[in-house]
Amino acid sequence: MTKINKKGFVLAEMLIVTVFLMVIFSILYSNFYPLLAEYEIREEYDDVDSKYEVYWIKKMIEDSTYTEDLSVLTPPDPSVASEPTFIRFNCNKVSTENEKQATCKALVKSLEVANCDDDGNNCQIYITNYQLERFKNTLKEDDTDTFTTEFKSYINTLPDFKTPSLNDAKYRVITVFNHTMANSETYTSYATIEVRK
Amino acid sequence: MIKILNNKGFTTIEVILCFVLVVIITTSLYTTITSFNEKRITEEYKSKIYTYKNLLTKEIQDDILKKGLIAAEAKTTNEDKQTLEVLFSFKDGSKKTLLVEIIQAQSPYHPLGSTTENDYYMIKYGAPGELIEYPLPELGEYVNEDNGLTIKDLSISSATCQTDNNILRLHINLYHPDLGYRYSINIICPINYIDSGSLNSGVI
Repeated sequence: MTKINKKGFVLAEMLIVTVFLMVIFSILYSNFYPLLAEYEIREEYDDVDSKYEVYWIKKMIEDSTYTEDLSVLTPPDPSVASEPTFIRFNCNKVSTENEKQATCKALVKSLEVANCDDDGNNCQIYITNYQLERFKNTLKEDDTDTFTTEFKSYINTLPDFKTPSLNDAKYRVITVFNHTMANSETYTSYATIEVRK
Repeated sequence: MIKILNNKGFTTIEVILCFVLVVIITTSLYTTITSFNEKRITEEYKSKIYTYKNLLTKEIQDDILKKGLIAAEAKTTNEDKQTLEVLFSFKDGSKKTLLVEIIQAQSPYHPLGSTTENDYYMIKYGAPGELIEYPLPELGEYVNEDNGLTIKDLSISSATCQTDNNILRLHINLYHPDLGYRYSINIICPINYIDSGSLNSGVI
């Protein structure tokens, strides 16, 4: 005669298992959901408009008339903390010619580069070393309001670019844009491109 | 062979509790799946617009970056349809034309809606006389019950081209009710940019 297990589960056991499963699913969901938000934010990183726009900033920096000395970004001993890890781009460094400076001012305004004043200064355009490790460390240690959290998030998503550039680029330009859409709403986008100098 | 079967069954409380749990789980799953499905459809639209925008932007920007833009002349008409025609002249002597054609049927979504024809949007780009058509991706349409006109969900709300201060500012504003103006086509570049010499390889 076959004996059948008649014990089954009590209600308390069922409830415990159900609650346990719900907790696990909640944890999974709460971990998965931010990925969607992250994906939406990343739409603003290196999008096609910003990429073509940052190209013109790169062109101005690569121009032989650009007067800023970028070699300070590649010091003999990069481990020295006092060595600069970035330089802010200014239109008055584009050339000594007024015409080129005027073109720069009009261009950064048209490109909607963030934070630019009427003279094309204070723009959120950062020239850094091609390898981003030092700049990333600067951002990590930064406790001022110089860089926004969103900007830091963008930089953190970028690779360190430890492998040398195929085009022998030593520097990199990183730009923040504040675009205004046809309905006057705005969005911020970010782009980077290597600079040969 | 005699089998002894468990004939205890469930109590009313157990059945009710199970039923409540099932209802809660089903409801939350349903709302989640529905929202994900809506998101999937929106992402599909985004992907199509992105592909279109990137393709057209690349076509125009490739010419501007590789050939060097020396002039851009824009003219607009607003007769049987709104048009924007831009003639690009490049340093190698070649020319390209960009033609944007807009016919907007009456629609609450289209601020400029004023015609009595169906929606029609077309962007053409290429050498003068050899324009290649770039039709907008199909993202759905509906018929206005009042006038029977076909309204497309993806539209070109406006197209503008300015060349002040030797800067080309070309904006083709694409509009979609779910996505707004975020995926418009924007071409901004200096006209007749004089490069004083650099190591630039033209690599983007």
